[in-house]
Amino acid sequence: MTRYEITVEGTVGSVVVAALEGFEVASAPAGRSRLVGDVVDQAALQGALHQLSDLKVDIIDVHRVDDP
Amino acid sequence: MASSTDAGTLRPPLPRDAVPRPRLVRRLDQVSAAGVGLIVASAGSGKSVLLQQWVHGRLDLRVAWLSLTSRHDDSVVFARDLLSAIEASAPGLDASIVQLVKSGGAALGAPFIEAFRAQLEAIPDGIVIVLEDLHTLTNADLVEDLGKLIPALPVTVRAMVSTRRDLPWNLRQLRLDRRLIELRGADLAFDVDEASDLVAAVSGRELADGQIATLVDRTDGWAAGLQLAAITLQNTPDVAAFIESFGGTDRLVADYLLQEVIEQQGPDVQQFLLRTSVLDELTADLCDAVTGSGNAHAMLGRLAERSLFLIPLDGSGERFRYHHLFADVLASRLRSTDPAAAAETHTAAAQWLIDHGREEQAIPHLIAAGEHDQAFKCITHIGHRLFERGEAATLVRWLAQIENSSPTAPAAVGINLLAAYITADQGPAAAETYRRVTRRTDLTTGERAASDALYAILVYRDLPPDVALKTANDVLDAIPLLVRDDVSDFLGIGGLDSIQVMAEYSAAIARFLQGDLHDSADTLERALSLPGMRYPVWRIYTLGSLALIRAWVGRDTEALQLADAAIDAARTLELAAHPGVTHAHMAAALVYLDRLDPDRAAAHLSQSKLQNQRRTSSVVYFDFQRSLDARLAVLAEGPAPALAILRAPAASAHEPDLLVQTNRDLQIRLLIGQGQVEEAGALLDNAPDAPEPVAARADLALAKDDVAAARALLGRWDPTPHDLRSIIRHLLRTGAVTDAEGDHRAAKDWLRTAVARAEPEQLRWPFLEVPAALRILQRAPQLHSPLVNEVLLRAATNLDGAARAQASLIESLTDRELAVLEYLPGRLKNQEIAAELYVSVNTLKSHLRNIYRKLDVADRDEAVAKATALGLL
Repeated sequence: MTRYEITVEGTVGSVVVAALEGFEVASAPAGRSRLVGDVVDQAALQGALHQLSDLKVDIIDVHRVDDP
Repeated sequence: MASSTDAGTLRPPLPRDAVPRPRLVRRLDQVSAAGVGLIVASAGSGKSVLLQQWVHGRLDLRVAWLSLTSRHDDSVVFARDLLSAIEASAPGLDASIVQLVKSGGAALGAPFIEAFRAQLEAIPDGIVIVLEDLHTLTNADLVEDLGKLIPALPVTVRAMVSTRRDLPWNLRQLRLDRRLIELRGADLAFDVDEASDLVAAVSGRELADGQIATLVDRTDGWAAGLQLAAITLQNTPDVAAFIESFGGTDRLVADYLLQEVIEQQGPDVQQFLLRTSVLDELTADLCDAVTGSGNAHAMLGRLAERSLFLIPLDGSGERFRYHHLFADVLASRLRSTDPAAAAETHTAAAQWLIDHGREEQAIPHLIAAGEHDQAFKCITHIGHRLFERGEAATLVRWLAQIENSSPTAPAAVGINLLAAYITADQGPAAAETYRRVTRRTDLTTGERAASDALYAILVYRDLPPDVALKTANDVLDAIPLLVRDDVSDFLGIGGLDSIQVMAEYSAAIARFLQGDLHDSADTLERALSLPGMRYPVWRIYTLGSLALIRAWVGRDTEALQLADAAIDAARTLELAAHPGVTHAHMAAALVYLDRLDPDRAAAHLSQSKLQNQRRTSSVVYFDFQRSLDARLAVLAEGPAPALAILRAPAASAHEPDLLVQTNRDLQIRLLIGQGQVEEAGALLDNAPDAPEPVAARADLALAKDDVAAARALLGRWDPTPHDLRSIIRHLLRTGAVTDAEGDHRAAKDWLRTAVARAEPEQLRWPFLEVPAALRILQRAPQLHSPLVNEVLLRAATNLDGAARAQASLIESLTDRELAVLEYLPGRLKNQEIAAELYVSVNTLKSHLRNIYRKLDVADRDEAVAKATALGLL
């Protein structure tokens, strides 16, 4: 499992959270949402990013959260 | 795409250098019945090779293999290819279910999925469906439908799916049921032993274990990386040096190795690879056409020998494709190093395909080459083929690409896009495109007329009839002033002749929907001799619609001939699936309803729905079918289900006057029959004055015994001579009113006339609308004819609830006995009832005996119970 943080434009609602298995909203700074979740591999991450694009969510930033 | 290797089972050929991977093949063997094997891993991980190895090891199974490409974003293309893949290994499939796919090419839709599942269940011993590269689908609706279909396949079916990334499917239930076997990148990664086999097979060299370990470590066991490394080793004299430099660099594996592999090839091979990288499918002829040299056959042989990612598509070694990853890298390299050559290559490929009659495959190349004019020309030539096959989504994709990528695209592109949107049943997008096109200042009168003609056709999709009529009339006014060459063609079905037919047709339908039956039929009849009728689809539409209007006015014999002609023409031209046949089937359904033949009516009604249930924006069709459904329910199920159908809301926002009136008449008739006279009256009070619902008002007046009012209403109702249905409806009510006025002899004369007018057309339905007329006929044996007998017999499923109950008795109650029956639930004693009815007690007792006998009961209480149960009380 690798932890990823995806920042998206806008306030994310339950539909998006439900669609992205394994991700949750960590915080929502002004006008954005920070989603954090574990993915099993790159194909799973790609699947999540495609889901966001299908749901018309604009992605601002994606990065891996390295273990502390 | 696949070759026959054993009886009835088609499997793609196995690549020559495939390394056996028993540990993974065994995992796939664990996919249970109704189970799903899901392989999710990045490009070049060996997903497809693994699936091929598995199916080659399982010759005991039927396999249907579908490799997905961007073409399959059109769900019609997807469904058709999937069905033919299944047909190849399980013959006898009903391929016509592709007609059930929702129009517009987005989703598959529930009707198709249901029919598809039934087809799969019928395959003896079941089948394995392999869907390769599912990630290539960008059509979210289609992917979603597959996410519903695949976890719910019949128990005899297994699905194997490969994809580069996770799909938005809910797999929870599959996991809970242990029906999911999932292989991911980590599973597919090569271990040292497998890598050793792979390197040996591709490079022909044996490496030391330590060297293999370095390769595996550096590539993370990525199959494509190992293969690239092995290809590099084919021509590397110093293996140790290569391994060392590869292991010691930070450069990305794919980047490093692809460059090594490509640059290692001689200039002729490099050129060949780059130029042919744009081809979806490689054959020697086509490759020669794009490279300009004649050595493709030998070259393809060399590439295969060197394992240069060339994947055979058939067993005879004639058709290949590159591994997608490899092709993408080559194509982007070609674009960045020599953009002109990239365009040239696409153009050359397109030209060769056009010369060989494969325009459909040429179009994407022309678009990629930026040859928008030529691409567009091709579409106008062959667009009608896709139109007829229902692949409108593909047309929309091409045309939208052309329109978007060339800001100066001619108006004709927009007009074709409009036509494609209409064909794809995308009403809102069509309306938007119409507005965009007609806002252009450079629009010629011919282009304007073509756009208007297309827009007016939206009359089936909730464009208000008056707007459709006005737009169609604008076209018809413009036509005499137009020069033939000025009018745009669209999808190869446009042009002056076609827009004339379309405008006449839309105008006729708009009038029909407004209730102007005479003019609409005239217009269609004249339209049949227009030159545009050479195009058979227009002819099918026109014949079918004319049939429906004829049936609407009771000219059933001609209606049936016209409908049969339309249905036959569609069948002959293999257009049976075309929505143009919808009207013909609705007309035939109406005729058989008139003849009180619910079975045949139901068959045609369901045929008509088959043609258009996938066209969800054709709301006017749904309203017609709802009206016919209600009539069918009357015959087949009784008044209550029919009323439920009539009470449901209309599909269209502007339900046509024609249907509003017809449905209201029937609803009022049924309510009266159910004894809900007040509710029926309320419906009338809400009805607008025009068109005046005279029949219903007269029925209501009769139900309230207000004979004078009924007579006055009939006096104001003067059916036109061409509307036989109205004439008969009028005659029947006149007979009923005359009878109620006490002139029984004259009443019989009216009915005799009604029967005589109805006989030639076998019009029986209108009789059911007037129970009072039925009672007169019952009393008058001299009027009996086959038609009358049939009507009386079918009164068992009459519109009138009480009459229906009557008919279920072996011997029906007389009017007098019914009058007596009314008193039985009350408290009045026999003497009191006799007094009320002005009869002697003895006469009353004889009525009671008859009632008990006919109801098969012993006493008054039982009679009340039975009569109530039957609906007589």
